[in-house]
Amino acid sequence: MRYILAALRTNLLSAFEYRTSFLTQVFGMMINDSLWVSFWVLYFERFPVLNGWTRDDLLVLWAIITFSFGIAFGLFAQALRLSELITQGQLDYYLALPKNVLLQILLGQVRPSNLGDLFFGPILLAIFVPMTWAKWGLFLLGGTLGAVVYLAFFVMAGSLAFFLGSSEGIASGIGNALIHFSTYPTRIFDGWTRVLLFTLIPAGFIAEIPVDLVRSFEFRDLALLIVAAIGFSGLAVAVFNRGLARYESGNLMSLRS
Amino acid sequence: MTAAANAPLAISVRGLTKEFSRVKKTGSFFKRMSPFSGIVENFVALKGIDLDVVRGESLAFIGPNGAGKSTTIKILTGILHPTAGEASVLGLTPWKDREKLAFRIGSVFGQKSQLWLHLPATDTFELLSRVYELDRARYRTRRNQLIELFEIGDYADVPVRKLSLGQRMRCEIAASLLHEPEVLFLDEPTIGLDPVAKASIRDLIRNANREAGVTVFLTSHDAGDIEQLCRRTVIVNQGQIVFDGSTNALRRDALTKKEIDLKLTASIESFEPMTGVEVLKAKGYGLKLSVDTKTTGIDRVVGELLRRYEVEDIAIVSPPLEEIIATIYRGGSR
Repeated sequence: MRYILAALRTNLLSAFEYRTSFLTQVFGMMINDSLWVSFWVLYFERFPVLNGWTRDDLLVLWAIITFSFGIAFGLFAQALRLSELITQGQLDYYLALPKNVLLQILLGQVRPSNLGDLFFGPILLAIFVPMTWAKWGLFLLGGTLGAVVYLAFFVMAGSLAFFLGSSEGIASGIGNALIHFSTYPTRIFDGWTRVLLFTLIPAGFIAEIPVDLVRSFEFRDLALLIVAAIGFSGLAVAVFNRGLARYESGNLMSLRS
Repeated sequence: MTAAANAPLAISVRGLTKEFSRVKKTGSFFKRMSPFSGIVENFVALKGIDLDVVRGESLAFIGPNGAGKSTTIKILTGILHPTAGEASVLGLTPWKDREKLAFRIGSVFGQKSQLWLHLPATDTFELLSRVYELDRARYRTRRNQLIELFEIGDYADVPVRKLSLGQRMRCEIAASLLHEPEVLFLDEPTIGLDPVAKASIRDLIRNANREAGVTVFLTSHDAGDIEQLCRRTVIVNQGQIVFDGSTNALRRDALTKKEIDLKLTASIESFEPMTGVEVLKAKGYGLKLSVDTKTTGIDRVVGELLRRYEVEDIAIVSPPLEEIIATIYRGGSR
């Protein structure tokens, strides 16, 4: 835990070295998120109910996904670069240190723009949605578990580089599919698409179930979400470790930033 | 030369082999765009290396580009898995006990920095103290000791991006010694440094070895690093050990040539022969000589040159490693 806090401290200090850029990115992302939410608010003014979802449900969805995304890729931003790091042989630094390699990679960088997402979610809820303390607790828990699913999925996608070589395009493509699907109320989909959203592209565990938890808590939903987060992370760790044995290093000159 | 019998070993390697598969691509644009283009071939980077290093030893592990030096270091630090063979570092198998081993070894890769570019070196020290789970009091004492010893106090709190290469390398080595490692792996630690910075880095490595008893495993392209730092030298070429002996023996048998590069104030017409000196190049104001130090002292040659000519600039360098290896092959001084 001390290592995790020290790594986050170092990352934040490094990112904050260029303060204007840091703050511009944080606030820029919050404005970007606001525009997306405004679009949905306008939609719900015209069509107040969509497959049982109201404006407030949509606001909770956006609060949760931006919060999850902010944790996953604001604080553990190198998950987005995993494929590139593997292809360019840049894991040497982490392999030379006495800590879990995957944990070190994930803790290797913070991304200010995604920290904007992290702050946006709670602010959105605090301003526009009536919340109880219990709902705040469920929001934090659901958002955190959603972040775990995000990270696990991106680790699996990035680890493809161990097996396929340069696969940044593939990792980014399937990663974007997950992000894209998780920004919609997944109940608008049915049939095989819903199966897909709880298996291959697990947006349902990031968007739908955490929102359901905040809307009307059911223990079954929480258990399902916990099992999914543990299952996907276990799978991600297994895939990463399997790939790591195939790692071939490289000779690219590099500096930590 | 092999490690002394019964002496405690820091590193022991038997039949270490590493193969990489690589694809060769040739032919026209359309041929290379075909999914079936390219010939996959196995490239053997290490061909069954055997090596023992005694605790406290300073070993130079050298060779030309692509010889297998970095691959060996990466296997010994647990970064790469070998294809075959055994290795033990401080009694641990690097690729199986990577985390345990990492607490006891340090590594410096001249081309890969462990310092955070936008932060002062002290911030990296702080993070490393958590990585190595150092006791706070012990960490502070050690950090202050290293800052003083490495004379980096003036710039330890300046962002690394604003440091010169030599200053950065001092901080890199200090960072690698923070947890008091028993073995220090150095991969090209003096690459790109000017002569003054090189000398100072060599002093620091020498002190770590001789005063703190750290086992030093060094790879370098610079014959100067080897001569000044290591008592034993292993030369690797094309994945095989071609020389394993004392650096003194290497100096006697193979490092017998020095090159003198002169820039004169006037154009040179002719060069009057000197014993043990061969003219490599004489053109305009430039004169490049090779000196056989077995036959004549470098000081005598320089003295004579300064007496004969008005010299604007002078540089004395060791011949490249490729030439040393060729000498070993010719002389068979294995």
